[in-house]
Amino acid sequence: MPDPQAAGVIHDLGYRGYDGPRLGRAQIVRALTWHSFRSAFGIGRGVKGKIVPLLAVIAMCLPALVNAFAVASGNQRLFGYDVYVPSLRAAVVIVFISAQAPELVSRDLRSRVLPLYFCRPLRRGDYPLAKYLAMTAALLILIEVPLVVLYLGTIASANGGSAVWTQTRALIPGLGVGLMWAVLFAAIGLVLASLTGRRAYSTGVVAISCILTFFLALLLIDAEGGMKDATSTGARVAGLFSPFTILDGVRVWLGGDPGTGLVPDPGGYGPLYGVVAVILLAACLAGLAARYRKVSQA
Amino acid sequence: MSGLVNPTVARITLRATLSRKRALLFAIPAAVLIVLTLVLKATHAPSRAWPSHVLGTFGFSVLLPLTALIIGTSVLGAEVDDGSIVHLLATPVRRFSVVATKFGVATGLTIVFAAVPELIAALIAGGGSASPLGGDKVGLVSISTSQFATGLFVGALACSVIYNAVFVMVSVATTRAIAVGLLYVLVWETLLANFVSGVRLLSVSHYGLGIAGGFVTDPALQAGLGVLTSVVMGIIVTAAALLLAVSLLSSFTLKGEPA
Repeated sequence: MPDPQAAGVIHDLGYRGYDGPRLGRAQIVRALTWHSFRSAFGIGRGVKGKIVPLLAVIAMCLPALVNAFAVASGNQRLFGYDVYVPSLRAAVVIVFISAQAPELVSRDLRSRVLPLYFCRPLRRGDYPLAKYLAMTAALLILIEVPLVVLYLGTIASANGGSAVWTQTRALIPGLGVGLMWAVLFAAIGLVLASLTGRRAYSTGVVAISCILTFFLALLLIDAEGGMKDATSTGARVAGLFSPFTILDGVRVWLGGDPGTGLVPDPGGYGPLYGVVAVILLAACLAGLAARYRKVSQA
Repeated sequence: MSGLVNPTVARITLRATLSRKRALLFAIPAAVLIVLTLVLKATHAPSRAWPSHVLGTFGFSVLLPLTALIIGTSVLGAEVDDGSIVHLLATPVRRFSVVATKFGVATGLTIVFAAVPELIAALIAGGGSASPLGGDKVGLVSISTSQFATGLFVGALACSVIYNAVFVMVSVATTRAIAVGLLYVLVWETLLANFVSGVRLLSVSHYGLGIAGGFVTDPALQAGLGVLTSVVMGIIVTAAALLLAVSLLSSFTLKGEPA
């Protein structure tokens, strides 16, 4: 007697049946997200799978720890909450997404398990959605935890409630910038990594496109007059060539300090940075959804 | 089949590495470098020392390491990855010869996809310009195109050799060669080597710049090392990496990847 609920789902392989409750689509997405989030940090994988994410987190937190000691011995806070250590943060994010985004998507393509996922009550968009949520959460941990460490290390030596409040007010936009980074780079990493099932090559694709565009934008800014002399149109729009500099442009446009980050003050081009960032995010998400509409070729 | 280089292994490696769309991946950084040079050449007088920045910084800390990373880790790493390395190791080809052949092919490909574009870009850019005080526009010393291009090309050749020795070694040592290599290139070569001067003694891109500095004196290249130091350290690093690769491959065991 077939269960009418299970119609259209291949569960009955002729083995002993299961007629307990089925948790359904929402639970599958939750489980897939949790599993992907764990594998983004190498949890549940061998020791080798943990090396890169662990090194990335350590490298990212190191400046915040140094700051705690510096503040304790009487210095000012060393790094801004909104920019943190710009070149280190960009480098670590590049390494993390190029090593871990393929971990999330390429393995399933390589071992051809996607048909097995999709014969469950899982819609086409659910799989990329789960992966995207997991990657965004992983990047949030990677980017925001050092900021919180920086904050705690600073207020530990602060005296008086007003000093703590000043730090808290500075921290909030910093967390917002971190959220922008996580949302955009999770999308970029996953869409590029899902192009090929060979992990080595998808790592290469993500890394090359991030590093090339990043250095291209920095060089163009430099050639157009650099950070200080940012009056030319060239220097103001040069940041549009790389996602890192786009997000920094958005940060300055929204009121961040122009002297500390990666790009010079975009001035009147600020809204352009915002629009390009949104378009880039939309394009990556659309590409990711389109990639999983048809999964016959790995 | 004695000798250093095994022609069959070389042929198979070359075909496997250049097959399908992968060659395109190696060509992108080189294409970006050349297009960037063309665009800057068309819009700027070479007075801001941009040729040296583009070719020195972009060429030596981005183009060369990345191309060498992708090629150097895939010549041997691809076979380790899919397990077909056992078929190669089961043949009576000496391990030393396997490593030497793979290394030779990788170096040749890196020269084609990175060092030659560097030469072309240097010829397009038409000579760097050195200002004695760095960034100061007064007292520019122009450097002839041929001298500039030769210096950069020789430096890039040296870099191709050293980088590939390192990356072939890394690909034998770990199954995550690209991720480890990437971490090394980004954190060590681009970040630390440019900020911490002591690291330069162990930085491949600075060996290349040091060797280039022997042909052309251009402070904008920011060569941190002398010619002699660069050559000696380069030879030591190459030899050490290759010997390590041979000894690792000699005791190579294929490990099933934990799921």
